[in-house]
Formats: sequence, C-alpha cells, structure tokens
Amino acid sequence: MTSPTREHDCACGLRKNLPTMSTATLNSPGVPAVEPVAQVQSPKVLTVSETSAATGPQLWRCDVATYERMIGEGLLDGFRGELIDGYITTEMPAGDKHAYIVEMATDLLKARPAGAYAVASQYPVVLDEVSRPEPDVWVARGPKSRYREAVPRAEDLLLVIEVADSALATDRTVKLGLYARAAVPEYWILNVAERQLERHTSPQADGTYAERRVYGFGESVGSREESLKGEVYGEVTVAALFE
Amino acid sequence: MTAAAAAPPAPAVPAQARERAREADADPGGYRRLSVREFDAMFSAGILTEGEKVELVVGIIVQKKGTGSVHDYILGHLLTLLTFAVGKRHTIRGQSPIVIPEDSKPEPDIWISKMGPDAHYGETANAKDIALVVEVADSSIDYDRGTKLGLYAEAGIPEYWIVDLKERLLECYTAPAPERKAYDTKHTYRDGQTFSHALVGEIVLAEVLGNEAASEQ
Repeated sequence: MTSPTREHDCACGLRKNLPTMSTATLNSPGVPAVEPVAQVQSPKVLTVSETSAATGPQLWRCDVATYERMIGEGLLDGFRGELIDGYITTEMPAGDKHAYIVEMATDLLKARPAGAYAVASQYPVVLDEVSRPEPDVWVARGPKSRYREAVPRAEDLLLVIEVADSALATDRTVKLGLYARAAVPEYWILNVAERQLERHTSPQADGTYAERRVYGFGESVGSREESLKGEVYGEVTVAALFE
Repeated sequence: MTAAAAAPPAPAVPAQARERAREADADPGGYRRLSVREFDAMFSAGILTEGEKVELVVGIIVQKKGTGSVHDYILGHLLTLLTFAVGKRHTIRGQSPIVIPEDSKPEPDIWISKMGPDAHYGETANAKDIALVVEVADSSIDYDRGTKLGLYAEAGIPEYWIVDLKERLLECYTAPAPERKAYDTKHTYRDGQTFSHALVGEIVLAEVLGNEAASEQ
C-alpha cells in the first residue's frame, strides 16, 4: 500500500511547519462509489497522472488556530465548512434524508442513560493541528460541561458518525483516514442509499481501521452477542436509524 | 532545480475536480472558494500577509511556486525589454496582481495595461484594462497552458504569451473566447525568429530567451 503522506511546502508562509498529512481526495474522480464489503478501506492516494501534480500549484493550507481566527473575524460567515488537513473545505450538499437521519442518530444516542457522555451533531471537533471537521454526530467522554470552553479533541472522542448520501466516497476515504489517524476508536458510516451501517473499529496509525463490519437493515450494533463498547450507546438497531 | 528529485506532492483535489466544481451551479463540496473581496479581507485581518506568495485562482488560494534562477533572469530581462518597448504609453508591471472578478486575483509574471501610467493609481488593475499578460514557464508549463490560460481567456484578456524556457519558444495566444475559456489563435515563435507586434514592436526571440550558450561559458 502506498503510504498516504504528503510533503508540506514550507514556502507557504505559515509560522510553523504543518505536520505531514494524508493526501486528501475530496470529490476526486475515480473514487469508487461502492467497493467490496469485506475490504478495509484506505485513503486513496492520487497519482501524478491523475492530478498533474508535478506542475500544478500547491494550495494554501492553514492550521486550526488560523482557521478559528478566520471564523472569529467573520471571514467565513454564512458557510458551513470544515478544516481538513489544513484545507478549508465546504460540505457536500446533503440529500433530503440526511438531516433526518442525523437527528435520528443523535436522538438515539442521547436517549441512552449514560450521562457520562456528550453527544452532539454537526459540531466541530479538533483532531490535530490542521483538522477541525464537523462530524454529523459524535459521542465524547462526558460530562458535557467539559466542552463548554473548548471543543472536543481527538482523545475525547469515542464514536464518530457520518451520514453518507452524496458524500459516501469522501466519508469512506478522506474522513475515514482522518478519524483513523486521530485514533477515534469507532467510526460509523450510515449509508443512506443501502440502508446499512458500516462500522469501523481498531484505528491504525496508517489511517485505516483494521476492522470493518456492515450491519444490514434488520441487524443491531452493540447487541448482547457483541461484547463491544455497548456501554457507550447500548444496542442500536439499524432499522431505527433509517426508518 | 532539485525539486524533481522526490516524488512530487499531489494537490488534494485534482484540477479537473476543481474545474468541475466551479462549473456546477450547486457547490458539490470540496474547497471553500473565496471571492476577491474575501481574499482581500484575509489580508486586512492579518490572516495572510504581504510576504506570503499566494494568489487567488478561481476562488482557491494557491501558493506561487518558487521559481528558478533562469526563470527570474529571463523574467527580469523580458520586463526590461518590454518596458523600453512600451515606454510611457502603457503601464507595465512584473509579478503584480490583477483582479479578475469575482473570484481571481492572480499575479502574472508580466502584464501590460491598455492604459498609461496614471490609470491604475491606488488600485489593483482590473482584467478588463489589461492588454497583454506574460507567463515565463519552466516547470509550471502545464498549469500556464491549462488553468492560467483558461483564466485569462475567460477574463477576455486580448493576448497571452507563454515563454517556454525548456523548449526555448514563445507561444502567443490571441482572440480570446471567454465562454470556452480558450484562445482561438496561437502563434509559436522559436529561438532565432523575430516577430512584429502592434503593442511592443519587434521582438527578437534570441534576445528574449537570452544567450544560453554564452551563459554556459
């Protein structure tokens, strides 16, 4: 496997060098829409021929502190976006069902008795110096008051969920790589079209998850036969998310 | 140039995807694109500083590539030649920004204004006032023939030159077709040739390209 590294061009004028990050592949053509179920995904690294990278320009990147300063200055008003690997990105427009499923997942997780956890939807988390995504849903170590002053960081996160309709390919590549490298212990992709829950666990330093299991419409995550991190979210039936 | 030794880093989004994103009415995601106004606001707020070598190309902030010593020599040389040629009739600038509404503010290697020296006092030149843009290309040739050409053609800039240092030739693009982001006419002049130009008079390619043999001795 090709190592998903990316040299940072120091000529960019940042006050400090940004860490080496993966090659993001937002909306890249050629990312397969559907891939074999059992396969562990790794971020796709673009080749030179795909990108004319040798001659194209380096794009400007910034760190989380600069990004937050831009937000503070009102420079990014009126747009919902994320900082991914130092790139300021926009959200894919979501399908009709997206917002509803985000609500369903958030409600389900919030309904758990475990008050020791914080659950939020579409609220930022800081994963490293150059990434500040806004996952559709996240569950972090509680209590909620921990995050009054600062958004959760990678080590606070227990579970991240992306509801994937139009952005499925991005969620399986760029986002997966991002969460795995940040060692987020568990990542769910709710595949709207297939009405499936893709559950990724055992994050690896190379930006992959070692375990991936797909739960169909009739199945449950965290059921009694699974002695997993059920204490976080209890049993979640896939049908409850998509119905 | 030593940059070619290591595997070149890939930009995060392929050029085609960016182009596609731009053409789609609805934003399909990817980079947050900025208007010129927002780009300028980043400087006002101190997020970007004058020392940073960045330009805004179709709403995306790109790092200007470091250029080689040959590039810088030829650029300075050509700027001198063209400055003598246009005299006080036209404003001419090297690596100075132009505004292409609404989302681009590139810094061409050289531009010549349709207007005289007083015309652009206190403001950034607008693409509609530009008569000729020149890019001196070494490793950036594909970008200059692709994205940059499309940008200048779309802005209706009447004439665009690319000085190809590797092949030692000058490509002269005229007759912009903004809706197609293309130029309809292209002339290529090679080392040893001379051509006559309405704005800048006679251009001797050997003069533009410098004497490679002499400089190596």
